[in-house]
Amino acid sequence: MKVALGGVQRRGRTVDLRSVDVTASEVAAAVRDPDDDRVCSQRPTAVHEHVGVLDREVSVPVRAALAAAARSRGARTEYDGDLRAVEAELAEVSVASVDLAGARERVAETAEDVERLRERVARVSGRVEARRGVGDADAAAAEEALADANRELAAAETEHHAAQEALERARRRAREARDARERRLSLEDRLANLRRDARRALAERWGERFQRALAALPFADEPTGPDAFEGPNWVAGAAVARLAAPGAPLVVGSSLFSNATRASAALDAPVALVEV
Amino acid sequence: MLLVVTYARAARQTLRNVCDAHEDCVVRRFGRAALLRETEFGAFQALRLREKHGDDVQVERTAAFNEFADAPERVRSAAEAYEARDAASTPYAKFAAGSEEHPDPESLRDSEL
Repeated sequence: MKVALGGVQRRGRTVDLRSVDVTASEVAAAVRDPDDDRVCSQRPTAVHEHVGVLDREVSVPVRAALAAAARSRGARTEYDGDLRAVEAELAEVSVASVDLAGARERVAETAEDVERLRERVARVSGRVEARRGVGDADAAAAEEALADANRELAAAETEHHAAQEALERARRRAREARDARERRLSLEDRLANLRRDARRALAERWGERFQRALAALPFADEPTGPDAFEGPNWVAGAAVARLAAPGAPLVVGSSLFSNATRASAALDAPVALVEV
Repeated sequence: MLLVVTYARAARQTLRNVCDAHEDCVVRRFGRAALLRETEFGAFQALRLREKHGDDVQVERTAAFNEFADAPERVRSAAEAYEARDAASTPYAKFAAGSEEHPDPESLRDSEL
């Protein structure tokens, strides 16, 4: 790897950045970002997300990390065929977005208009009733106002009707779009189940290797399988890192190792040592 | 009541969280759907879900079904008679065809409630 951080330039399988004012997560972000040329190295594999940073504060999901480590070494499971098939099916699902809110709002607004104009027609028609027979000029004006109000009401009703029909059409489209969403959800559930099954299978099959990795580290007294392990989480993380092929360098805190070369040997990977 | 149906894993999880946190506004839960009480709080939760997850959340308002007010007598009696049929294997179409008083399934399908 090639590192240019905080005015310091380093190069090699192991780099000691303890004198550089930089956090482990900053270095890890630079390692993972191919466009960040402060750290140039090989591309990380998926397991790097789990064990790419190691210090006493990490929280590593051991089974998932162990499965990812197995994957980084090319391990396969009986679920992989189905996994690929479901992933491919999922990629084919396209869900349309149907805006119902606009149509609903239009229905509510036009309904209010209709209600308001109905009340107005009732009011005006009461006035017309009262002046009928009096025969003055006000009566004619009231009649005219009533005709106006009725025209406006008719127009508002037409608009409300159109809004309702538009909403009904949008609802039908939304129903079809939900069929696709439903299908996507069931595929996603199936994919999650398959991934979980695959993780379990890998973690079980790689349990012994995990135990051997623990034994090879200078931390644990009693090496066990991943489920029985009761030591600190970061020790399990280090064991997973040792048996993984992380691709990119691991960012290791000085609380774990005080020497970059020794860290690299223990974890069997390129290492950037940072001060924590 | 307010029926909230989710169509994505994230939306389903948020609905679960809402139901766990606000049991008082939940009438019933069904996996990825729930019936919420028809209060402003229920509406608030439903709208919050829709705001967060967009089209992955469907909100509908349900109404109680009163068969005596909402369904005609011929539908009620057809359901009752069909469930009291002699042979369990008789499909409804055949059952209706063999009787005078029960409507055929097509006419039922064509009639809105």
